Amino acid sequence: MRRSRKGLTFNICATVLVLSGAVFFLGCTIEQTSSNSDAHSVTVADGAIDINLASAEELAKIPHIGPKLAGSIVEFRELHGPFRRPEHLMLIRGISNSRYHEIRAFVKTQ
Amino acid sequence: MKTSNPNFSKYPLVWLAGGLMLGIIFGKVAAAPALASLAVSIGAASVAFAIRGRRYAGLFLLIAFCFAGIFILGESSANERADRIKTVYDSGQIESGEPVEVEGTLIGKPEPSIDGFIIRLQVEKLVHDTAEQNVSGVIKLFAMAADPEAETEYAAMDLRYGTRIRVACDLSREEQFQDPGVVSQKLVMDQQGIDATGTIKSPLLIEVLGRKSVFVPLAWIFDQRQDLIYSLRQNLNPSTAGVLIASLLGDRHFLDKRTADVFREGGTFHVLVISGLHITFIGGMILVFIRIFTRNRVWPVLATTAFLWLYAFAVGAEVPVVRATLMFTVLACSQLVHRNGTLFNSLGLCAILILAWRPYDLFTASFQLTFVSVGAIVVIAFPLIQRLREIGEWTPTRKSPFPPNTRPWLRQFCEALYWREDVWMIEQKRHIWTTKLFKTTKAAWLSREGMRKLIRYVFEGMVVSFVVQACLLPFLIVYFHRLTMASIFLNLWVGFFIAVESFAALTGTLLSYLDASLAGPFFRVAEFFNWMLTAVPGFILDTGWASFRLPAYSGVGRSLYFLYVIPVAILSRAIFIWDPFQLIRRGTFVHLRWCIAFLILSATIIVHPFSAPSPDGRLHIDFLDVGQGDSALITFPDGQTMLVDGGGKGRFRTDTGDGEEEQFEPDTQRIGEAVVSEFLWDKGYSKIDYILATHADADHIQGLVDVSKNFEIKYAMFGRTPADDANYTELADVLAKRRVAITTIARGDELNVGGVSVTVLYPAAGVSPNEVSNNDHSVVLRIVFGSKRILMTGDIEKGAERSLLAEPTSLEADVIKVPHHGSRTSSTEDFVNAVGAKLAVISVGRHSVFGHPNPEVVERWKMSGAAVLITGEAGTVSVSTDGQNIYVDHFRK
Repeated sequence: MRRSRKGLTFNICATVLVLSGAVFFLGCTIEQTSSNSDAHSVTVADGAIDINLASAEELAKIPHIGPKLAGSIVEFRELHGPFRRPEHLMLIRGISNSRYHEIRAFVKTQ
Repeated sequence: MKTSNPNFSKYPLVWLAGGLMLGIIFGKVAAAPALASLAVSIGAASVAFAIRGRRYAGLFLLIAFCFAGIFILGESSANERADRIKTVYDSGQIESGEPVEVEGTLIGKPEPSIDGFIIRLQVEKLVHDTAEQNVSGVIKLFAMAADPEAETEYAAMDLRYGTRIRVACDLSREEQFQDPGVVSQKLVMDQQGIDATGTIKSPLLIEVLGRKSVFVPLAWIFDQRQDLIYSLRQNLNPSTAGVLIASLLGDRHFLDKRTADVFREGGTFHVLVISGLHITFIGGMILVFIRIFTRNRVWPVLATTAFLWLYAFAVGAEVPVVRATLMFTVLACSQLVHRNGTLFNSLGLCAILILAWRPYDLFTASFQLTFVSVGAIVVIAFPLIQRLREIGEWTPTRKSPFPPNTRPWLRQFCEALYWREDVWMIEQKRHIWTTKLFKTTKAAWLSREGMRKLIRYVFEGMVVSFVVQACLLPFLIVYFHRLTMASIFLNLWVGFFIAVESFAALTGTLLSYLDASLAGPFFRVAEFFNWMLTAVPGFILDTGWASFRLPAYSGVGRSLYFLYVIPVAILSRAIFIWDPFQLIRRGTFVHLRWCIAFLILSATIIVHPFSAPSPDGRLHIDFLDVGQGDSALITFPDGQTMLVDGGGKGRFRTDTGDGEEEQFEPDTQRIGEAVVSEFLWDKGYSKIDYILATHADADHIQGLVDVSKNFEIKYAMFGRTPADDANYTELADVLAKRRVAITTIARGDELNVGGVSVTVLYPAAGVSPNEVSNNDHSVVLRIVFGSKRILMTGDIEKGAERSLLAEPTSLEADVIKVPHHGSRTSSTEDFVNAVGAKLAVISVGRHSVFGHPNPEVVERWKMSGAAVLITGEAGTVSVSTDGQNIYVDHFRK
């Protein structure tokens, strides 16, 4: 009986530990999944968005690019064709050299 | 025996150059078939050759050159490649301001400028909207490098002569301000050999593709020039560095406006532009220096010429520099082939060579100014000084046994300057006979005092300066609208001090390579000379009498300038062939008549009594294209004028010098000068009766500063006078200096001019006139003539519109200047309907940085039944009324 009580305590502790570990692992996984869920289909492994494929909504989510500028990017793309280089974003009025430096990590062209 | 009457037939190249010029002018006026012209030219030349030596051979040769001129001009237009960038833009294949990628090779080294540098690119490929095409032509790009990171990135690229790059930018080739009298932007670019201009926003937009092989000595010279620019900027204050970089190295980007204006107003700006004067000075110095070491005639000339050509390319090889170098080469080489003394003929050869190379140069101000000024020196100034010298130095010889046959006062004056008693004493000892010559005693006195040499130099310099000024009079007025009386003296002052300043600065730069402490005193001396260079002219110009701005005649009145040439040419010839030792004086009376004709014509050009349009009983309003901004000229039926706003927007930047903050304003032309003043001068005005600033925003008030400097103003009117507003205080200072009274106006004030009623509808009188003057405080005017009404609204916004609608006064108008450049902050539906205009004029440029005019606003005015004209698209919009009908015209058809 005493042995069985000891065994029960061990089992409970083990279960709590396993469950805690599972909860911790799952929590991390859920957190990771939720952060990934914000990204869209155009997101590539390095985290940069393809400015020739992204929609205005997707572009607007890039830091320092609001909806207005995102609209300008799409309008520019439709008017003059795809961007050959991400640096060519600076041809758009409103994207200066300093602003481009702020967003360069988030944009790319295929 | 001396030929007493040398005639122009001794200068065949001048005649042939004249024939060529005539042909080019004819070719421009009436396009003749090029091949037929060539055939006639060859035919006439063949006839001339066949009958050579006979009487009319020269005439046939002249005809040959005339038709050659027509042929050259025709060929020059026809040979323009179809793939030129200018053609691509002019034909509308690409709109100005659209993004493109261009690929090409750098011509010369990038030229340092404020906040960046300028590159010239020989373009080979152009990509627009993914379509690639092969193109040709040169473009000028400004690369922005305002921050250290950009500078570092550009430095890493190592852009240099011959570097091949691909760059993404917006290229522009279009007119900026389309108003009568304003210089065409495209024409300026064509004259500079540039097809288009653009701005590179970031070094990241440039891709270096490789390097082409280049002429190494030229590349070395480019490097030296850039090093020298950096060295001068580092060691000297901005004003001194700007002057030296412009005058020695041909880069005028570092000139500050204040310094440049002193040169401009003093009529000495030409020393800051590398031209014939510099080339002659530098070439002459080198020639003299080399001749110290050798008596050989050939190689000093060749070495000097070679150096000058390298220098010409190093400073950008702009057309005036190349022309000046070519002229030096021809003149120097003419000495090699024993053609001394035929400067006039050499000038003719230069003209032929240059026109054969670039026939369109004949119509450029630069070509005309160069050749007229050099011609004036060669034909009038030098022979005149030579004759005066001969009179003063006269001693009895077999060639001229009798004293000069001139007025006693002239003889005494010349003797005072040129008679040398000591030389005569030595001369007399050689002869077995003695002669007693009665010369003026002043000569000995001046000589004793040691002043004579200086007085002689000053006198000769002033003669040259005056002659050039007199011959250039029509050009100075048509191209620059400026007559500087003081320039006759200031040219000598500036010429001397810029020479010594350059010498001190260059010595300092050379020594700085050895030891900075050795160079310091030389740089301080250069700065002192620069102060002398600008302070004294500045002081003279501040007196107000030294320099005048003058309007030009237009239409039939322009023929006055051609008439002016007649007495000048006849008097020039008279001076050229003048022989003071001729026993019988001939033609004195005839010359007197031409002198009077010359004086009358000069006075008519300078005083310009007939330049302004005569009153026609109509009310005229010209809404100018001043880009982003407002400016409208009202001409009342009695001829009085009112300028409502003057446009404008300056570019300022603070630069640091020796740790102290100093304001540096680059020498760029402001809208008030380059657009509004030019328009008013073109109209023939030198005074404006009323100026009115609707409010104190720079794009309305800044241009009035330049107008107030350039024109005589009777009254200045403001809604508010904000004492702490920099734009207003600048204008107020100029008006105070010119003693123009400032009147504050408010709602209810009325002005009646020539039967026109001008009523102020807004703003109401404030608590203090010194309150802020923003958009919503703009002065609103209602102008009524007969049954027609015009509303001028400044930059009022919704608030002011509501106030106006709340007033019992009717806002109804036939014509309205749309508020605030067609912004959506103004033109509310109620306001638009209340006005019910038939014509709505929006004053805004083609590419507004603020996105004006708002399409909805334009549509709102159209829906109300108004025809909408935008100044940026239509150019100057001219509205006139006789009180019954309204007539509308615009500059751009």
